Amino acid sequence: MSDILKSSAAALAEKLSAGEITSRSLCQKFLAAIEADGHNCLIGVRAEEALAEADTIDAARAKGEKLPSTAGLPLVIKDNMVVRGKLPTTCGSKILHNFSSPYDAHVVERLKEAGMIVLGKANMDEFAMGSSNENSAFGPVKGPVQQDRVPGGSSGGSTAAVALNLAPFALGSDTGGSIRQPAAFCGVVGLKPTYGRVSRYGLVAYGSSLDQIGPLAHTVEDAAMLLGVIAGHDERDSTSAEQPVPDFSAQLGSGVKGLKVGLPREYFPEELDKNVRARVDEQVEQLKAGGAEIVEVSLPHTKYAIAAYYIVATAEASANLARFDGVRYGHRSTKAGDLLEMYRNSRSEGFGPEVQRRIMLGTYVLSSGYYDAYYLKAQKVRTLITRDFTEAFKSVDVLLTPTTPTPAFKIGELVNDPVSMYLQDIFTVTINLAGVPAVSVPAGDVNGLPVGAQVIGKHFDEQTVLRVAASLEGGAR
Amino acid sequence: MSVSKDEVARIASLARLELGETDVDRMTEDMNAVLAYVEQLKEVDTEGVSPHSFLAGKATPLQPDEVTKFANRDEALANAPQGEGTFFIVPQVIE
Repeated sequence: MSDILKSSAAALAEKLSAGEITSRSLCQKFLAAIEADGHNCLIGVRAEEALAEADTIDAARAKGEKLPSTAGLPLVIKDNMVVRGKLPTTCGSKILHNFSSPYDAHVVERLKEAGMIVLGKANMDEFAMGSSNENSAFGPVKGPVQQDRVPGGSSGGSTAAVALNLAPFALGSDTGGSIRQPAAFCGVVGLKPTYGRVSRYGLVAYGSSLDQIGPLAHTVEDAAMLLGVIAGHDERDSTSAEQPVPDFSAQLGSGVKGLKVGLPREYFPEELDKNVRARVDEQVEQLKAGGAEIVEVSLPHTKYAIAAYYIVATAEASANLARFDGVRYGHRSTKAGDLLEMYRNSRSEGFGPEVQRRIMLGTYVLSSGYYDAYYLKAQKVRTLITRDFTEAFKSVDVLLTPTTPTPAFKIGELVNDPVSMYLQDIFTVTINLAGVPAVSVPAGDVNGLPVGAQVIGKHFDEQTVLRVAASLEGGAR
Repeated sequence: MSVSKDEVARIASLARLELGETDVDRMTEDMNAVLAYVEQLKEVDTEGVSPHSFLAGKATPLQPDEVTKFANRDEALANAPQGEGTFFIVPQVIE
């Protein structure tokens, strides 16, 4: 029966629909797995609420009511998406350790409409700032494949939960690679949709022009299913796109014959780990065997992406995190003092070191005298980076790259070296800067540690991205 | 460009953060490491380049200027570290 925990969401949906298993029974099994797990994947669990929701679905099904195809499926979501109720939304931070949201995020509303059940809130780097899940006020997440290695971040908890079969799939968020990089480290599928594809209403903001919510799953089919549930316009998010939502699953079986796949040379530098290169080359061979045409392209401004990202993202973060001041919610310092001291003490006590570092950088680059040299400059470089993609997509349908420069590093290895940690995102941040969609798919392993290949597509062309990803997953066709 | 410890203290004040002496040293070091790294953006010719990238040309969507009520106000107020009715209590603001 433990095989059921390893099933794809699609397979579970069929079993639920056929009445072979009840949602309650399914949720109970996953909740038991969560309870027994020692990787620190979850910050909070909502067992009672989840089982009550499961019972409602089971009762409706027993009555013969027509239910959405996803009804009864459980999942976990990263703890930066608000869920109404007592269970806090913490963002992995002490400053929100006791914040009970009075409303549901848009994606949570969509999940509920689809009959899906949130089992709990996944651990994460604090306020989504990090690439290792070592920056959580609730302790690090241990890597699912090797416990002394990081799961990646910032959606480390969501990703490890899927890899460990604590939930069939999960939602994460991605600002500079926070879905794709942990997906690569943990050997699962992780997709960042086009900017604007999924509403950010109820996603606690880190970098508002970069953040997107996306699925983490065992299979491309499951990722497509979950994306279909959460995607679509929401007028409460002014950056939400009015683009019509296609059936993301429609082209999964189409293969890659006739597609043009670009390999950007800047993502395959001489220094790239030979083993990672070998795994990605194998994916290229698979695509060739499937009838795709491989084209070498160039994205010349790639080397400036990390610099541009860490100016833009920290600037936006400094503004977004100004609201955490101890006044209306969250941690308030008990040290005596005037209003200013209350702000300073509450924030300094409540925010971890990485968050404080990024707030400081962001404040600096936006401050008078420095705005033009840093923030404005970075935004202009961002335009050039975006143009690189637009140019490349004139001659190819998708791009293929490694997701990360190395497999998972050890817990503690990079935590005292901020710049080295930031360089982990070298192949992922460009995608957020340009707003294009990208997915990481498992691409074998190096000495037992998973490696990911990244497929990048044109704005709003998740269908082609998923189509290529499915082809890689299914082996050569 | 690099930051001095004094500037770091000034920025901390702007950011409403309290940095102790050792923290200021560490923060100065860390910020300078990042600032040194991002210096390379100077190399890029951005003459005539717009800072608005893929979001360019999108008009900000507007909404009707109507007052709406948030239904779960009591739940929101329940998060207040110190509150009374519909007020949040804070240290004295005006002398």
